[in-house]
Amino acid sequence: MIYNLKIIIIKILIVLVLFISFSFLIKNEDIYNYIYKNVFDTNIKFAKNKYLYNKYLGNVLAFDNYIKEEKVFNETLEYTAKSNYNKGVKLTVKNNYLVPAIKEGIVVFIGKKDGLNTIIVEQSDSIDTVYQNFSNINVSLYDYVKDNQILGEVKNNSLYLTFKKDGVEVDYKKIIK
Amino acid sequence: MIIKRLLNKLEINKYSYILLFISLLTGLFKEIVIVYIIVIIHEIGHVFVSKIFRWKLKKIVLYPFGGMSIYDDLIDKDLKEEFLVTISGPLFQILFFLLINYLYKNYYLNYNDYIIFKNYHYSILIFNILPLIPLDGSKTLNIFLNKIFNFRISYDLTNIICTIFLLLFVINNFNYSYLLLITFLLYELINIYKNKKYIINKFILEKSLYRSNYKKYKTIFDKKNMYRNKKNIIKNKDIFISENHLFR
Repeated sequence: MIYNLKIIIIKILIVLVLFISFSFLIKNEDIYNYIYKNVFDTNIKFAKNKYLYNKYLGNVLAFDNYIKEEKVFNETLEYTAKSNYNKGVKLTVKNNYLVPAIKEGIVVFIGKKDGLNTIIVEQSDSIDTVYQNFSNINVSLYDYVKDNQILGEVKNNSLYLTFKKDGVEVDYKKIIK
Repeated sequence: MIIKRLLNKLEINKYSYILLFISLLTGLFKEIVIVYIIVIIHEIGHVFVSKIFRWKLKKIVLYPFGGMSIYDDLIDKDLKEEFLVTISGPLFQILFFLLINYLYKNYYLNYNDYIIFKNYHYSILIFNILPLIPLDGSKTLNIFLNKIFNFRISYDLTNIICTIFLLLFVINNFNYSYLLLITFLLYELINIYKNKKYIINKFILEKSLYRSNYKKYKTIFDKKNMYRNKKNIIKNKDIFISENHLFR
């Protein structure tokens, strides 16, 4: 026999013991909060890691950026009016405005949030920027976007932005002046 | 069947895992996948053409920055065959990039992915053309030198040219990330210098053991100066000895 029955039974028992002890432990509120905070609410900061690596050690893969990319789209975010919206900011922009990224980073989420098409960019300064209300999205998941690179086309004329750091909202007035 | 046999010969170098881990931490998922797709297409090119000529494939190794197919075969292979096998890697890579171009023009591929493909395609291609020791460039150089000079001189000349290029490469491109790459290139170069005596003796022995079908004759005075892809005749004080009768 390839599989030893004894070993399988022992493995199952170990898993059971671990599972039961863990489920007892999690009844304790402190441990529950600790695990929830450290396991479910944090992620690897890809963009920050890459920024630090590039700063001190250079490119990760040999011959990164060998070919200079021709810059087709390069303009900063422009808007006509701004107002508070749901912990973030609502910017009034031109109709079908092409949204540039505020700062370089990695796209970590594309999908629907609050019924709006959403892009989340994790930036190299470890702030997550949530861009909402797109009609067309030009990037895909885990793309690295550069400063002012086009993200997509806005629906109608309002763009919603929310800034988060470690899951907590950051005041937009520090970033959008 | 063929794929299973090839997969058995595939070997992943341990330093590749370091690179995989770093690219996981820095979120370069797409980039690393695309780099290895290009590298594998490149190696498939070499293996495909070498299978046509029935070379014995020993293994394919995936290094952190490229692949290498290693053959367990004679040194004195047909120069034309060897040339075709060497250039088939870059050739397959170019064909693959043409396919990627076609996909991009027909909107099957988005702009960002296309840029990544383009970037790494050209960088791997140009890197492989450089005359550095284990790369395709040095092999092509060696083949052309073997057309003109004898085996020993072309071996030495290749090493000297490759050493100069490695120095230039290090001076121009120094970066901590290339440390691994440069160490690897240096290691290969030192190995080549070390194995010089062994490889030349192996070549002489091979020449004397196997009868070749080459039609060109060459008269030489020392058995160390044998030519590749020629029938060598050694002249020793008015006595002519064929290469096959050297040790008999």
